[in-house]
Amino acid sequence: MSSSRDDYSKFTAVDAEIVGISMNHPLSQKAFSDFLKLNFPLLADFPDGKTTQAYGVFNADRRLAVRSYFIIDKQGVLRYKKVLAPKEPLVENEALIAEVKKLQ
Amino acid sequence: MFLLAAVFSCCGAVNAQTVGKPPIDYTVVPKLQELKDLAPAPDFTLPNPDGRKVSLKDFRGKVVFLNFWATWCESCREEMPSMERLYREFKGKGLEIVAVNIKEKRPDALAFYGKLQLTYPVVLDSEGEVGLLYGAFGLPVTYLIDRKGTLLARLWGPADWYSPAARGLIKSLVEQK
Repeated sequence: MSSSRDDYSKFTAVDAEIVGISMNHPLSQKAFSDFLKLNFPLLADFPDGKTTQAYGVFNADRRLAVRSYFIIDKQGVLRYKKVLAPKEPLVENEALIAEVKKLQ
Repeated sequence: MFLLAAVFSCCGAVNAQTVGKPPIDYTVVPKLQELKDLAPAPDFTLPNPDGRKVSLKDFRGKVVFLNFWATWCESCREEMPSMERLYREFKGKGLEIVAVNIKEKRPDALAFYGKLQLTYPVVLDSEGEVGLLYGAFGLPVTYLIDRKGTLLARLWGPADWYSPAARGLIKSLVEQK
């Protein structure tokens, strides 16, 4: 999240916006956002995780969202999906920006 | 889950204002942040040192000073004596302190608490779930909650809670109807 904050201008430079979603309570989300001074919104898919389930990244055992990335184009079409396996490293921002550029 | 959207729309947060109440200046306590969306404090239930379950809603009707702490936290140790003094001055005037120990063994937490001769209520969040809920990413964290259970302000880090400014702030809050 902090790397997304630091690279936010690189995302907006390619006409992309960042939205973070988790199944935490809205208060927890707000605290996390304030604590890290995030410059993009965090949304709380709380308590049922309907959006998380709709995107196929709901971990039913732990009742949380699996770390994952989605890129949606300007027409609202899902064009990129990456779901991380346990302990798999995060996707670099440069790689995400490259994926956005492919859509332009 | 992380969503990177090429199209983004979001609604602005509602910034409700208190109506009919004198404004409270939270900035008198350094780094204390007013929480302007006036959200309700989420309820929780945790055991106290005797094993009795205590819920946040038990304190509805009082101004609640909700503090998260741990024995390893030097800053917590630094501020706790001032919290105790604050508690002794205001506990009969509408203030309650609830100190949530985060992710520690019960004997360790209680030994620390006893050593500092604290009398305000402590509850034990052994799994850290309530700490996560309230964003206790760094300790200490303190929330001020009004008599109706609304979140008023939050501070990450320690404060001198018995300073004239902090006592003045708490006095203003307990005097609000």
